[in-house]
Amino acid sequence: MAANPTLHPDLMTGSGGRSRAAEGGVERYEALLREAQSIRGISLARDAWRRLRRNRIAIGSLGFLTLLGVLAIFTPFLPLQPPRTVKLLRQYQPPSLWPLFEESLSLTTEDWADDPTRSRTVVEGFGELGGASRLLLRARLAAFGNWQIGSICGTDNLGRDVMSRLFWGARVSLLVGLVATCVSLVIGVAYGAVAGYLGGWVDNLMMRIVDMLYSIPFIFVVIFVITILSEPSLRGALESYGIDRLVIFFVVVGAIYWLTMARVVRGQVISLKQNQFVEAARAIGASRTRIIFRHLVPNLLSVVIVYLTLTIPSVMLFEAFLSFLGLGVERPDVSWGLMANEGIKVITPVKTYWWLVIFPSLALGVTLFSLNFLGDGLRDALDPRLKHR
Amino acid sequence: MAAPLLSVTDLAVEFSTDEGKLRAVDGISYSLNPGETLGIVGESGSGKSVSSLAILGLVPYPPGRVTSGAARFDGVDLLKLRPREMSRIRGRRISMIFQDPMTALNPFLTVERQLTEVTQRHLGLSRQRAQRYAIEMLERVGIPSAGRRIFDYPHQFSGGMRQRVMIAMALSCKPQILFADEPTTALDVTIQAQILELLGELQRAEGTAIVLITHDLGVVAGVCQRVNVMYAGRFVEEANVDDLFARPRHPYTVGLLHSIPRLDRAGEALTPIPGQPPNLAALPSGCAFRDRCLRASEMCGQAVPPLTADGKSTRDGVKGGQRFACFHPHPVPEPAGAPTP
Amino acid sequence: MSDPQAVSPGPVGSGRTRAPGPGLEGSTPAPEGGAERAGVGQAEVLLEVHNLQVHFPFSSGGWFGQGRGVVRAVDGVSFSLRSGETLGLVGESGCGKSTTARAILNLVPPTGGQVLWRGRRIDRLAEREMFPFRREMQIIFQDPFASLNPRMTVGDIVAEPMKIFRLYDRRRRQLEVVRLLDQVGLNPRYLNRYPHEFSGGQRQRVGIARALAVNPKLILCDEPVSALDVSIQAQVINLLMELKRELGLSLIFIAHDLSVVRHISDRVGVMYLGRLVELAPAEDLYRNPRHPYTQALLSAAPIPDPVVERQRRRIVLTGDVPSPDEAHEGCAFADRCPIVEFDCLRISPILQGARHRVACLKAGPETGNGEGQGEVSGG
Ligand SMILES: Nc1ncnc2c1ncn2[C@@H]1O[C@H](COP(=O)(O)OP(=O)(O)OP(=O)(O)O)[C@@H](O)[C@H]1O
Ligand SMILES: Nc1ncnc2c1ncn2[C@@H]1O[C@H](COP(=O)(O)OP(=O)(O)OP(=O)(O)O)[C@@H](O)[C@H]1O
Ligand code: SF4
Ligand SMILES: [Mg+2]
Ligand SMILES: [Mg+2]
Repeated sequence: MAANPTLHPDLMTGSGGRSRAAEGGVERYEALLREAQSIRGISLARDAWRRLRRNRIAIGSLGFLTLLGVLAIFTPFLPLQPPRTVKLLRQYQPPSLWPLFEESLSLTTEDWADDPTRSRTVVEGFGELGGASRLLLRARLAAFGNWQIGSICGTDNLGRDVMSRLFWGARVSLLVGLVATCVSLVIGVAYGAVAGYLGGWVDNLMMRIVDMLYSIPFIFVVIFVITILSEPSLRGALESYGIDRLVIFFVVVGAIYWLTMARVVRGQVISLKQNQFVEAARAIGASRTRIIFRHLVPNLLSVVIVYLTLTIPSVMLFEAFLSFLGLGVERPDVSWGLMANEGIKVITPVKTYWWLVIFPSLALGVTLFSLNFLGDGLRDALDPRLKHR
Repeated sequence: MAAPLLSVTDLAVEFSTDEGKLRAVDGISYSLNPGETLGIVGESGSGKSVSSLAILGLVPYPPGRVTSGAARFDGVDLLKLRPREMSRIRGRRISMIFQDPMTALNPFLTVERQLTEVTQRHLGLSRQRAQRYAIEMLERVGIPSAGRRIFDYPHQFSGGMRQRVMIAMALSCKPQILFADEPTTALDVTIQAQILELLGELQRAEGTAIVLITHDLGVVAGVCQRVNVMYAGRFVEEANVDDLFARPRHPYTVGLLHSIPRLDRAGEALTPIPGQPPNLAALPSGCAFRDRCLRASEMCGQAVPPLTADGKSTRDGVKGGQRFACFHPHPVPEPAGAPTP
Repeated sequence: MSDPQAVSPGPVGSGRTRAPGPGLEGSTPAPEGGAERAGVGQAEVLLEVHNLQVHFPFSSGGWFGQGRGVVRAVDGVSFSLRSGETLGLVGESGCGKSTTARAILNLVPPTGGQVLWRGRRIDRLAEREMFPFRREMQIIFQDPFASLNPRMTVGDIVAEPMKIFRLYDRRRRQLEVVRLLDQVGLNPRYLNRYPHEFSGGQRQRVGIARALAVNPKLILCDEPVSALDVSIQAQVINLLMELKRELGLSLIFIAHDLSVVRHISDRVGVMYLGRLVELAPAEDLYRNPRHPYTQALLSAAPIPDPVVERQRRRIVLTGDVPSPDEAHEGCAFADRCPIVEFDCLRISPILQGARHRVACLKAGPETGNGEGQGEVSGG
C-alpha cells in the first residue's frame, strides 16, 4: 500500500489531538468545520470518470453512442425521407451525393389531423407515431418545409431511402437493446441480491434453478416461442391486448439475460457482505435496511453499470440475429437486423446491391464495438484493483 | 575477499502510471559475495521487490522498464541478456522465492510436476531421477511424508508448506544466488523460525549467497551479515548488521529502530516516524525523507544526498564499511559505554 | 478538554442529556490514573467470557451444500476483563482470535458458552436487544482498506454511529466528527474526502474515530497494526495507548506480534487452536512463560538486535498448526510439543492457576522464576 497520490502532506495534524483540543475548544472546531465544508473529496465515481476520460477509445465510443442516441431520439425532426414511402421508380438506386437535397416531401401539416383521443396516429410514409414523434415531425415541417435529404445511401428494392431507414431502424434497435437489458437488470438484480444476501439453503436453491435454466438451449426456445406466438390466431388475440412482437421480444430476451446478471450480482453481494465494512456497520448497530441501502447497493452500482454496457450489445446482436431469421422485428417496422436481412435476400449471382447490406451492418458493428469499448473502459475505470492503494 | 559474485551498479527502474512516470528504483548499487546474506529492508512500495525482479529480467513491461544500470554476474551483464539466455540462468544459477507463494505456484499442476520440470530442464535429469530428487528436496525442507504429498496440488498445502515448496523449488538446482522476497512475511513466527533455520542450513551446505528482502528488522538482525536500507527507491544506508543496529546514522534507520517495540524490553516509549510512507509520484525535492525527517535543513531540499561514508564526498568509502545518504547523519555514539541497560 | 460552558447553548439541544462521556463537554474524568498495571485488580469487571465456543459447519460440496463436519474456530475460551484494563490476545493465524472478538460482539453467533457484560448475558441476544450494548463495545478491524465503505466520506463514516444512536442534532454531530478526527490525529479539514484518498495508517485512524464516536467502554482491536508499515505501526500504537489513558478505555488487543502485545497489554492470553493455553499478567508471561507453546513463540519472535539474536537459543517447532476441523483427543499442541508425554495424548489440559494460568499437564509451578526454556535473553 504505497501512499496515495492525492494525499496531502498536511493531512495529519501531527501531534495527537489532546493538547490541541484543549487550546481552542468549540470555536476552534467550528472554524475547522467551516473550513472543511469548503473542501470536496474525490468520490470513486469522479475518480473513475477522471480515469475514463484518459481512455481515448472509451471516450470516443461514449461520444459516438451519445450522438447516436440523440439522433435516434430526434429522428422525426431530421429532414429525412419518409422511411416507408414506396417509390418503385427509384428502386435500387446506388448511393450518390446528388442530389444532396430535394424539395419533394409531399407532406404538409394539414395532411393529418391530431386526434387527441388517440395516442398513436398513422402518418403517411412514417407509420404509426406517438405524440412526441408527431410533435417533432411538426417541428420538422416548420423548420425544413418540404426539403429532404436525397438518397445518399441509396434506396432499396421498394425505392425506400436507406439512410432514413437506418435512422428509424436505430430507434428500434437501440430501444430493444435498452428495454430488454433493463428487464434483465431488474429481474437479475433482485434475484441475485436476494440469493446473495440471504445465503444458506435459499441461495443454494435459487442458484440451482439458475443452473438448470442455463442448461436450456435458449435460442431454440425463443425461436419456438416466437414461432408459436406468430400463429395468426394467437397473434390476433395477443394484439387485441396490445402485445406485439416487440413486447414479446423484450420479455423473452429479458428472461434469458437475467441469468447471468443474477449470478454476477449474487457473487458481488456475497463478496461485499463479507467485506469488513459491512461487519463494521453491524458493530455500530446499523439495521439491515441501512446496511443494504447505505452500504451494499452503492457498491453494486459499478458492477451493474459495466455489465449493462456489455449486455446491451449482446441483446442487440440477438435481436439482429432473430430479425435476420425473420423472427424479430416485423415489417413494416424496421431494425438494422431486418434491413441486413432484406439486403441479403436480394443478392443474386448477377447483381449485389452492396449498400443494402453494408450500411446496416456497419451501423450495427460500430455501435456494438462502441458499447464494448465503453464497457471495457468503464470496467478498467471502476475496477478497484487498479485503484491506487 | 574474492571478486563479488554479483555486482549491481546504478540500477534504475521506471514505471509509467496514471500519475506519470515514477522511478520505483532509482540508481542502486551493491555487490554480493559468495555465501553471504544481504538484507534489503524498507517500507512497502520502496522498491525492494522491483529491484530484484529487474535483475532477473522479470519487471513487467509495460508499464515497467529498466532505464539504466548493470548487473554483472560471472562476466556477463544480466540486464543485457536476451530472454533465452536469461532463462538458462534464472532458476538454475540464480533463483527467487516470490513474495506470494500462491501466485508463483501453478494451481493446475501437481507439486511434483512443478518441481521436476526445473530439474529436468536445467540439470537434464530423467523424469524418474527428477522425481526422486524432488522428494528428497521436500524432505529436506521439512514436509512430512513427502513421497505422498508430492502428488498434491498447491492448494492442498497450508501457507507455510507452500512457502517451503517454493523454497525447495528455488533450491533444487543449487543456485549460486537466491533472492528471497519476504519469504516469511505471510507466516506465523514459529513457521518463520523453521524457514529461516532451513535457509541458513542450506546456505551453510551449499554456499549460496542470499539476498533477503524483508521489512522486519528482527529477521535482519537474526540472519543477515550486511544490510541495505531502502527508502523511496534508493539505498539510504548500507552497513554490516552490527554497525547498523549499534550505530545507525541515517535518520530513517534511527526512526525505524525507535518505532518498533522490542520483545525483550517492556514499557519503552515508542517514537514513531511522523508523516506517511513516501509517494513515489510526488516526492519532495532533494532528500526523499525530508518531510518526515527531524534533522532536515534547507540544504536537504536542494540536493539529493549521495550515499557516502562521510556524508560529503562522492567517492566510495572503505569496502564493506558503513555508508549513508544524509547531510545530517546521527553522530556515532561513544564506542565505550554503548550496551543498553 | 474544553469547558462545558464553551459549547454554545443553541444547537446542542437534547444531545446533552443523552451523551455522557468525553464529548465536547469533556465531562468524564479519566478513571483511576494508575489503572495501568497494578491498580486494575480493584476495578469493576466489565466483560466475562465463560467457555465460549464458536463452531462453523463447513459444507463439503454436494448439490445443496449439505454440511458435514465443523470447524472449531473457538473451542472453550474463558477470561474476564476489568474496567481500564488491556488484555492482549496472541496466537498463530487461524487460532480463533478474530472469531473470539466477533463472538463477543455477537457478530457471529456463539455455539456455546456465555458472554456477560457487566453481569448481563449478551450472547444469544437478538440484534434488537443487542443494540444498546453496541454503544459500549466497539471494534477496530485489521484491514484498513476493507473496513471503511469506499462510497462514503470520512465524515459520514465517523458520523454514522452517532446517527444510528440518534446522538446530538446534525450540527453538533458535525462538530463531534471534527473533534474526533482531531483527537485521532487526522486533519479535520478533510472530512469530505473518501477513504481511498488516505493512506493505510490514516484510514486506521478513521476506524478508531468511528469506534470512539459513541463513547464505548471497551474497544476490541483486531490486529489494528498488522497491515501497516513498520514506521506507521508505532503511530497507531501510541495513539491507542494515549486514548486508553485519556478516556479510560478497556481494550482487547489482538495481534500475532508478541512484542506489540507486550508493549500495550496489562494481561496477555495465548491462544492455540481455539483455546487459551496461557493467561497471565504481561510481565509474568514474558519473563516466565509456562506453556511450551508460549515458550516456543517467544523464542521464535525475532529481536531487532544482532548481538541478542546471536546469543538466543531457539525452540524450533516441527510441523504445522493442525487444522481446527479435525477433532482431537488430548492436548491440541501434543503433536508439535517438544516435551510431550504419553498422558498428553489422552487428557485435555484445562486452564489452571490463580494469577498465571496455564493449560499444560507438564507446566512448572506457578511461582517459579526464570526456569522457562524460552525465556527471552538479553536486554
Ligand atoms: N506493475 C506495476 N505497475 C506500476 N507500478 C508498479 C508496478 N509494480 C511496482 N510498482 C511501483 O513500484 C514501487 C515499488 O514496488 P515494490 O513492489 O518493489 O515495493 P516493495 O518494496 O517490494 O513493497 P512491499 O513491501 O509492499 O512488497 C511501488 O511504489 C509501486 O507503486
Ligand atoms: N465464517 C466462517 N466460516 C467458516 N470458518 C471460519 C469462518 N470464520 C473463521 N473461520 C475459521 O475459523 C478459524 C479461526 O479463524 P479466525 O479468523 O478467528 O482466526 P485468527 O486467529 O483471527 O487468524 P488470523 O491471525 O489469520 O486473523 C479459521 O480456521 C478459519 O478458517
Ligand atoms: S500438555 Fe503436554 S503436550 Fe500439551 S502442551 Fe503441555 S506438555 Fe505439551
Ligand atoms: Mg515486495
Ligand atoms: Mg484475525
